[in-house]
Amino acid sequence: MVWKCGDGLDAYKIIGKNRWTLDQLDPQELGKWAFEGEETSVKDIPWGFKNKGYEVVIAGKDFGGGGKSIEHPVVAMKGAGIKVTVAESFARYNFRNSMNLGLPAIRCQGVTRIFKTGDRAQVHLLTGEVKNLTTGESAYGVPLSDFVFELIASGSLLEYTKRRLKGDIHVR
Amino acid sequence: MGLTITEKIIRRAGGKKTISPGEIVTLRVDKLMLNDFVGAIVFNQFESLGVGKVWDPDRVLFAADHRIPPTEVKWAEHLKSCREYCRKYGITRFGEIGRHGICHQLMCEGFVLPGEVALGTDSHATMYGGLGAFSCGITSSDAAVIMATGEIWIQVPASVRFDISGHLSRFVTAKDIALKMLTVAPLEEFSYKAVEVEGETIRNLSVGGRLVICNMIAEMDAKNGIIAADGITSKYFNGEAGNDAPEQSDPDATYEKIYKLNVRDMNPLVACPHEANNVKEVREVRGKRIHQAFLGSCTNGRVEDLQQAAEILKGKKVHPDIRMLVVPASQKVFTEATRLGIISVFLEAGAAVLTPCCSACAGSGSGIIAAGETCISTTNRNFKGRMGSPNSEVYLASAYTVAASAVAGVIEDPRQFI
Repeated sequence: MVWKCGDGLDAYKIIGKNRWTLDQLDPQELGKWAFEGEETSVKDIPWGFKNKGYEVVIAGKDFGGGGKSIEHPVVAMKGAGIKVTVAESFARYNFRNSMNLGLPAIRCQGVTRIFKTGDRAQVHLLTGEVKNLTTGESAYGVPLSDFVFELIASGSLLEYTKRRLKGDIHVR
Repeated sequence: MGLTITEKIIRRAGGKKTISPGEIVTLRVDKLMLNDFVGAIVFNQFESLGVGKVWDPDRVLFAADHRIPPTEVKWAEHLKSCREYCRKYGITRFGEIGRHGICHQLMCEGFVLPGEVALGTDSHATMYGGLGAFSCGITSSDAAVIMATGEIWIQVPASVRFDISGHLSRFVTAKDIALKMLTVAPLEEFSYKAVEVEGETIRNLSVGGRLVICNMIAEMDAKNGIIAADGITSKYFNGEAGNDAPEQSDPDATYEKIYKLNVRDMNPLVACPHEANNVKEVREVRGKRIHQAFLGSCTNGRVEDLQQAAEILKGKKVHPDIRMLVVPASQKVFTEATRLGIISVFLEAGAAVLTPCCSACAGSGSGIIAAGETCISTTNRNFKGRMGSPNSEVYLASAYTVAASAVAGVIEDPRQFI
């Protein structure tokens, strides 16, 4: 199920400064408070967002911006059960973090025009098609590149690196 | 076909014969910065990789700058663990309190060299591009992988270029140039780009000024900002810069777009709440009441910036209705400013001088502001709540403008003090 937001939803709305953990990135700890900065109905309610059952975020421009070089927002989204994010455009850190932390992120211009919160979506990572199963309409975004697909298939950059170090993957 | 300076550094560090924008390349990293912001997370992630040792501890610098000296037990514990990790892995460049500074400032005090791949776990790492390095902020996973392997994957950014010409008027500074740059196009045009800055104005600009410009390029959501090294850069390193021939862009390099800017008639500028590109001339907002004036941060906390402010403040007083905070960017800066008599100017004017640190810039250190308060500062971000209460306001400006406003008690054009 889709949760849709508009332009400029920054990192602090995904996970507030007061929730940032200093020593670990715990999807359980961070997932509890995902999006409470934007979805005010779940403010201060542990697992409030996750319990609503959303798995796909459809966002407008500059998703996850604010320039903060932290991984907490993507970890929070994963902890809250988000499986894929689709946006008109991504802020740079959010985009790279999504790849490094194994949360598929698809850039798709025009996607916000064909979705609303509550719709059901199907996202094809290798073709970039984002289909609204509720209305039947589709938008076409940028598919994952081979390298990014490898990262995500490994689970995360860290897991991918472990495989590389063991000799399971050869680079270049 | 020619390459831009960013592309050349990537080609060298990636061990490739040729590269083009959009390609995924693995780079060998020359310098890495960690700090107390996400330091413990980096070390935890690094240890999870199980390699047992850091690839080259002499290429790593750890700075304690966000939460020092610690004011809560959890931060004291966090810093203690970072200290222990650095000892364990032989990272001797640890900016211990007393020999400390803001992470990006320490990186630019003789550690990062022109032509290097120098990355840091904080977004304003773009600043090192002012030395002619390829530099950007990275997050903890990337830092952990660099510590284990010495490498990072990147997608080669497309380059754009600013050509800046014209002589800067008195009281108009590199910070004003940086703010002006944020207004030439919608910021999304710069997302993920390598932003190269060139032109006669830049060739005559001090290294300090170049650092300001590349620092503020982080606000464009760019991949990196870069200014080719030259004689001025060599002099900064006392002629000891690492590479004999610093990287320059080829005359036939390809840029997605070139932006031309003449700063001859530029007036002092200010970024108004709540976005860094909400830029107006200072004279348009003169008279706006302020409660705090802040001089410091990685953006404008160097001797040059303190000197600019002292020029205005010498023999004058901070307005009785406001407070001014001065935070030199490092102990070296603080020591030099003391030697030059600049710190006395601030103390006599009635400003508070703090130990080098990020302080109020990111809203978690000393000097945050209350609801209904307005601060004019030399920092780099002014989104809602950046410096404290979500109901406060931050204006971004140069050291001259901040000092002039501190004396006036309202936002003031520094040229009033000629």
